[in-house]
Amino acid sequence: MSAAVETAGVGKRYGSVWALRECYLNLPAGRVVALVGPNGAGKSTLLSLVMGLTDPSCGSVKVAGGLPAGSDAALAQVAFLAQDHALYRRFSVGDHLRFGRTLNAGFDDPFARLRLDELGIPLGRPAGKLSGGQQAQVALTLALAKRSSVLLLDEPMASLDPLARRDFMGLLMSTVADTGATVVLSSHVVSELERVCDYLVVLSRSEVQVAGDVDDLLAVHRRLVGPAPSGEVPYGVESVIERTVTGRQTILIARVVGPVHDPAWASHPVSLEDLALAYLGAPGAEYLPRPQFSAMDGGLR
Amino acid sequence: MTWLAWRQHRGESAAAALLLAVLALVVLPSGLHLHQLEGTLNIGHCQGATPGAGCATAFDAFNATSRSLSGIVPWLNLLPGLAGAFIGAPLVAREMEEGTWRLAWSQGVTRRRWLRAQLVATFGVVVLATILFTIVVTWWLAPLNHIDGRFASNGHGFDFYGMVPAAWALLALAIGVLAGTVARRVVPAVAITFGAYLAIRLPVEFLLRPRYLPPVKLWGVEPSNVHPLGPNNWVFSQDLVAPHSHHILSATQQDLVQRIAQAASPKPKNSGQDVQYLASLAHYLQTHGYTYAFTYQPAGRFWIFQGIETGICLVLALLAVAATCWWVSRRLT
Repeated sequence: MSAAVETAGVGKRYGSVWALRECYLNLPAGRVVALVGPNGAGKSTLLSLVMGLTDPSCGSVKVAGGLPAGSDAALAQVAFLAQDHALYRRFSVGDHLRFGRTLNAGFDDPFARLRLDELGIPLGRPAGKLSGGQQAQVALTLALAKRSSVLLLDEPMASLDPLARRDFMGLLMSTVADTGATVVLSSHVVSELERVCDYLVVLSRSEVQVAGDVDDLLAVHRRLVGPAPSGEVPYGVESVIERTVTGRQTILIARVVGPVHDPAWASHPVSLEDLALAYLGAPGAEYLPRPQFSAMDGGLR
Repeated sequence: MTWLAWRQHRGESAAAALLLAVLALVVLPSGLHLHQLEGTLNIGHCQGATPGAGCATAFDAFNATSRSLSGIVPWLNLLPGLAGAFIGAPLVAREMEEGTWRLAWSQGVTRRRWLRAQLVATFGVVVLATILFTIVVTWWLAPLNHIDGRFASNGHGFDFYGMVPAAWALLALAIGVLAGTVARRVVPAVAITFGAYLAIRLPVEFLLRPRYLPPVKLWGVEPSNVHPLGPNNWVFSQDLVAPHSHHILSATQQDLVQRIAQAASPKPKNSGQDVQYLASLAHYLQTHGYTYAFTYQPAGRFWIFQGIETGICLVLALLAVAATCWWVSRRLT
């Protein structure tokens, strides 16, 4: 299957500061990708590069099966919701729909109207007079109605209330199911993405720390509870990502090569959130199964 | 695409239309007054070698109006700068400032095409407005230009005639868009645009324009010849020439000769005899062999100069547009 997003050795430097570097990603099509990391880790930079809003300082970005990011063909295939979901303040909501129709060949106007109607957002109102949540919904509707094969959403839930978040998740799932689009969502909160995503990318300090299929990641990571305090780890553990010592026990978030049968240790599955947080707390640790590069770039990693 | 550009700039377009309407309303009374004066007093024949009766009164009325206008009219030259500052500068800068560039440039259209649509729309509106402006002002100042000549430096013809106003408006707009693209913020871009417009406009108008072509020198004009050049020339200087030579007298020498001529001529008893007095001065100079030399740009060069200035503006505007395109697609993000 061709990659929805493929980055090869991508870096972006602002002055002397690297916002992103050495980024090799190969995001499979038709997935919901969670892009997590603390603020300033480079999530928005990565999404901007994929959208083609920013040119990389080095490396290359390809989307939708090999189109160079930002090219004419790629722009039609990628939709983007910016973190600040800025709208034209003096445009009415209806003007924004016309904006979408004018600039996008495949714009799904009936869908957009229906969705805005369901949300109770009047088409005649100037965007500047909408609430923050409504503005986010309008911007999201524009991005969804573009009907692109790749959908990039930068912190899409930050301005939504809990009910709207749940609706948003449902909408996202049905969109993916209907259209087979690839969705990349960024967030600094892992828990809110946990239910929807099936691919995880952890960004930290401008570098990719973890990238992989969620099921695969959960299969090889365990939460191990054992005796305290002990420097030893049970047989089967490949590496310890996080170690927490409480009074009576040691809790490990660990990557394992097989089942852990040590009777002194209890083995539990990890949640995606635990896993991501463990990696974020361990700057040196990284897990990039099956080094991802395309045949074209040769393979040095 | 055109719809988008129009929707984004309809406020500016409305402001420009309003400004034009206000200008037309302000201009109408004095314009009608001038045209009426010209018609009833028939100023046209006053330009001949022998001014007709009533010319003095007519000239007085004209001079009064002209003086009152000369305070206002030059300020209209700032209008292209304002268009550049308030329509050109925000074009990209406001997108950057309000974050809407991410929305605009993540649609299915390259930012190069987006920019082209924006430029075509705004340039179209501004050129249209400038042409209307030129028509109104040309009509307004026509009587004055019949007297002073549309070419003359003290006349208001050249700046508000033909292609030059539109060319300056285009240049100011192109500067504005470039400034906004580089500065990324509206207020600094507005200031930069206006400053850059003046920094180009003033040297071109006052230093370059008189020199687009080498001025013509006319020697041996007899002092009694009141209108040797005919109308509509742009006269830089009129100098006394020493008898039987091509030696232009220095300012001090010219002053001295004029004093001697005045001393030799009978003083007028009242102002009604000014014309006679001037004639006797001329007679004195002529009998002593003095002649005048004129340095000027001939009236026939008017459209050549219009073409040269338009060319300068358009070349600079093209450079600014090219720089903007490059910056928007390569450097902006």
